[in-house]
Amino acid sequence: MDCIVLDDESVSREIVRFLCEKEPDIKLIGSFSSPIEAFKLLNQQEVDLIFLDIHMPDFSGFEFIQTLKKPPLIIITSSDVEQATEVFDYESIIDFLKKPINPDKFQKAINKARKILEDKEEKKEKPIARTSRPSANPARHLYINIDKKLIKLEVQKISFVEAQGDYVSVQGEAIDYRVHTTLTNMAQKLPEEIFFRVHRSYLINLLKIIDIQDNTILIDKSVIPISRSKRVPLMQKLNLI
Amino acid sequence: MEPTFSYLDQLSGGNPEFKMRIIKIILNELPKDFDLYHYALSLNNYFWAAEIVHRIKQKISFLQMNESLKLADKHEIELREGNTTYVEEFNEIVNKILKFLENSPE
Repeated sequence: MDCIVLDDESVSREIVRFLCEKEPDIKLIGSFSSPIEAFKLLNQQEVDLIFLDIHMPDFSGFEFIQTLKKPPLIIITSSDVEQATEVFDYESIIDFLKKPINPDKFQKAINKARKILEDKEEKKEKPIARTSRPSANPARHLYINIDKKLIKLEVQKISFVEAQGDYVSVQGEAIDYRVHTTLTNMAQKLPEEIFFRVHRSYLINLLKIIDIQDNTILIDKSVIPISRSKRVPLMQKLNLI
Repeated sequence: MEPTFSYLDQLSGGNPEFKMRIIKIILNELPKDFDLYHYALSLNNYFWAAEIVHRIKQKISFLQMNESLKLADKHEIELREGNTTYVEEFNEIVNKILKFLENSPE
């Protein structure tokens, strides 16, 4: 069983690690203090189980679950018992462990996860078909009007577009243009599969992301801010890719 | 209420390395959290202070200080409402933990 732990509190992470080490069939493949770090791993590989804290700065455990398109089994680890009732809103949550974690209760929760995974295996359930996505037939090119000259741009090469008053700055591989238009207009012209508005002044190419910190994205050598309201939709979008 | 290692002892099942690792983490993080908490209070940023209390609260729970944990709970809630009623008592709890860990034979 491949697991990760996501908890901003290091002692709690160490305790989960220690308890997992006692279980021969459990492999803790990641221990993360922030959801952003966890997303990076989850975008690369699937896991069977997440030990998830609820109360974390910036991003709650529940918000984290909402961003996952296909959440694995989740065991909540929290000291906030008053939030326990909220777990019923999430099918993927199979247990709630109050901190400090009781080893016997941990064992029971793990057994529950084992049973669910075994049942799934036995039934050999076909994976649930993913929700169909918008037709992936994005425009490959875009023409921009610079000094009455139409310039053809390959959209894949555009890294990001920044609003600058009545103009937008289009940046990318060998691309550096200032165009008289709005960011909204650019967003309508560019394929929504790969372009996403992370801030009222920025539209980014998701395929060009190098790194994501809490409130910023690194694209090429530019640091782009992420609006607070755009963080969850961005993570959902990234998970789709 | 005095701190104890009973939870860590029960959890570690006689694994001294694990217990030491946890003590070291708490000893390393708690003073920093405590300084940050005081800084947040000095800025009257009670929301931030409450977030730090929440983090410290977990460390209190590992040391089986149930009454202190209840007080820390109340302190966190009060801070979120802008009240500093329990600052002194909370300071006493954290200082007690730090003294306990520093004097721990482990």
